[in-house]
Amino acid sequence: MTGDRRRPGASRMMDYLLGDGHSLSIDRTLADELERAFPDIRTIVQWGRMFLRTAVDHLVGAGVRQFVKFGVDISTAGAAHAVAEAADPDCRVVYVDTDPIAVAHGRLSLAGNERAAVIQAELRDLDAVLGHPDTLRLLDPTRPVGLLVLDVLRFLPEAWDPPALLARYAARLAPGSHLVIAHLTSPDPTEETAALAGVMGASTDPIQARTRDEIVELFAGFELVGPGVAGVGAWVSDRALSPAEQAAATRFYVGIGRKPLPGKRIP
Amino acid sequence: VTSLPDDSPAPVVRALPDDRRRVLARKWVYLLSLSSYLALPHTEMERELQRLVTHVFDAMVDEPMPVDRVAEIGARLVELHCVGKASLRCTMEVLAGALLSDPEVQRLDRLPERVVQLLGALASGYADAVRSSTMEQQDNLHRALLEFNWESEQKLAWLRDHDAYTGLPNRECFLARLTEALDAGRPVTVYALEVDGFPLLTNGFGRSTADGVVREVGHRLLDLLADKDDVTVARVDGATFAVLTASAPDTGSVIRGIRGVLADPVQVGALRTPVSVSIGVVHQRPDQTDPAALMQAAELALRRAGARGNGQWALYDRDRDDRDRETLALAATMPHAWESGQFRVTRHPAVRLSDNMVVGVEAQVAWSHPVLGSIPYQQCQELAECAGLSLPLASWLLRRACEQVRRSRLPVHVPLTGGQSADRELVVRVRQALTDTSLPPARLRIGMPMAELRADRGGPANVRGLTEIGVRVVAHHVGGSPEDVAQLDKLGIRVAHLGPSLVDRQAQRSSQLVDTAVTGLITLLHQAGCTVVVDNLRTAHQVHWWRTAGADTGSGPIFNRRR
Repeated sequence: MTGDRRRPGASRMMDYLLGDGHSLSIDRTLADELERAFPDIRTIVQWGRMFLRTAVDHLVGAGVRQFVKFGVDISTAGAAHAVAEAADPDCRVVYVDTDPIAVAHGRLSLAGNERAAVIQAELRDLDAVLGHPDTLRLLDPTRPVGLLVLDVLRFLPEAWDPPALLARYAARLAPGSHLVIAHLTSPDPTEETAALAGVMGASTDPIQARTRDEIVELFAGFELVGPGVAGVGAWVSDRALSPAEQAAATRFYVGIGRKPLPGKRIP
Repeated sequence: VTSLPDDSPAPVVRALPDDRRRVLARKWVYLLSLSSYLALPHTEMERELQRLVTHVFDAMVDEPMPVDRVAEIGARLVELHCVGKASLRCTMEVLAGALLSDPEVQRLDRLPERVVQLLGALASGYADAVRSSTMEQQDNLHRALLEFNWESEQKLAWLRDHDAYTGLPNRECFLARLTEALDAGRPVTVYALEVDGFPLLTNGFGRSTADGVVREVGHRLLDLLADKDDVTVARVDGATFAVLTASAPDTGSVIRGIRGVLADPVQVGALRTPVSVSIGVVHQRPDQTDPAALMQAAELALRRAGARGNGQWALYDRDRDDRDRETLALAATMPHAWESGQFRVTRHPAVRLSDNMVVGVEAQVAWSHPVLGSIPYQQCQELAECAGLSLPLASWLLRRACEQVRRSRLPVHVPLTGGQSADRELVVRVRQALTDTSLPPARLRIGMPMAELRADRGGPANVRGLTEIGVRVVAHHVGGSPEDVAQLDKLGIRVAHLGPSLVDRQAQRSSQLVDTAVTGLITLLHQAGCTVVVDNLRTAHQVHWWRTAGADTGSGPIFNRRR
């Protein structure tokens, strides 16, 4: 995920798939190709946004007022800091991104916002993320944090050993912290998900699908709450899913986990 | 932001009861939500669209039709993020169906025209809003790209001037600051510092650990000096730093300060090691205005300090450095000269003084320099030491020497430098030369400087190793102190070459005392069982004198000429 304006970037592709205009033609070309390979992608991106709102509302209900989100939201509609602020104006959000273009973009659109920041770091570098001056300024390490890993087009690379990485976050964050994950899912590797990974290989943000069990493994340091790791329809209750959306939702699993209070063991 | 009134106090359209309005809004929201993420949660969205439905029906019965207000309904939809591919189409379908099927509306004149006019106005407003929002978003993106470019340029500019690893200014930046200081006409002092034993650290602990040590040293130097005005600390090379002070500083206090901050060991990962630096210092003189020359002077002084051992410092001395500079320049060309065969082995006879019989050959290396002519043995060895070629040169010399005497019956004597004598691989080198040339070990003599034979390095061990394989060692530069004689005896060395300074001193005939001392020394060495050899004899007179004094063997220009 380097800053390369000649290669498509996940945050701008995401913006385009959401119907907005923060994209370059290279981003749109690849996003269109993505849609041909995976026709449900717009639906999934849209439900991902709805789940973000649901999850933030849920976490605010559970007492979380500070968030770390993997991947900056450059789209205005439903950005993490916007939905968090709508849920409680006291909420703080730190975006973590490695793409310097997205970071510059996020910083511009957050100019004047005292409660949100974008830091340029790799999520796997805990010290860089949690020790960053902006993180220290915005987040209180003694209070719970919501770690949001739910960008549809931004995945934790296998090389980072995601279960171990997230477990290290679990160890560092205060009890009551939450992990939120939304992930493209393949019950078994299908042609479709393989095609998706193939298309995104051309972007600065390669991706891959994981099975439901693999997603459950990511919650190793947390206990699952609510419906657990399930299709997005089980979590977002705004309205019933249309039959087409139901089919898409089987390809998109989400879940929320909570770090237990001290003394309580994870079964 | 649209300026639609929040809610009409009383709906004008009596034909649309609340429950129908709700059903209509619910259907509209559902269809919109299928194609786009909506900016408001579902129930809020339904409330908002009920409001818009009211405005639509109001506008429908207004005369003339308030097309601007209808356009704002379209714009409001964009604000609510109803921007999916099907958002406008489903809006048209829902509203057209509702309007055309409403009994109140059906009674209106020119109904089809009015419906088309209303939906057209709404679509225009929608399109306008999409266009402005897209343009604004593109503007934002381009501002971000400009920002990114600007940051990249800043980063590049920084990288051009700094060493990325320590964050200190690099050589180019240092020279630029030095130029500025010189231009400002202030007296400057340049320090060149090198972390001692850096190659050793690199080989022993790996490059990253060694770099870590360098980084820590850099940070300590910066902490020490950065708060002072007019001071620049730079990393100019792998383990070399440079410090520029432009405020007539007290060198002693700077050096004490540096020693002070390096007093504590450096911790890098699991390695905890004490560090020292060698320091070269040059105080600029008014006629010195070339920054590169000043830098070079500091580095020459550094090299001299380093040669004295770890943690030393040296002040630049112009006369010495002119000589050093020539030597270094010559040494730099040595590897190439060697490759192109400019080196050769010269043979010098050793003559028994009692009967003028040739009893051996001394093999030396000489450099036939295309410009400077023949560079003699001693200087060749020193240059090889500078060029790092000393040990390969020893192997080469040994092999050539053995080759050249294979057909004669004389023993060959190869004098080595201190470094070559202490080399841990020396016995292996010698054995290799003997094997390659099939020369019997007894025919080879290895010469070692007396100082090396007395030092606590590899010399004495090599004497034992060579003796074991049947090669004899002879001592050079024997000065005749009781320690020398005792050590020769201890190592079983039976041939002693007197130091050249003794020979020169005697030749000057300055004092009867020298003659007496030398005669005494020869007697002493004979008593210790040694053969006494005198090198560098130039005149028949010298030969006569040394023969009379009891020396056994001689060599030097006078015998070379005779051959």
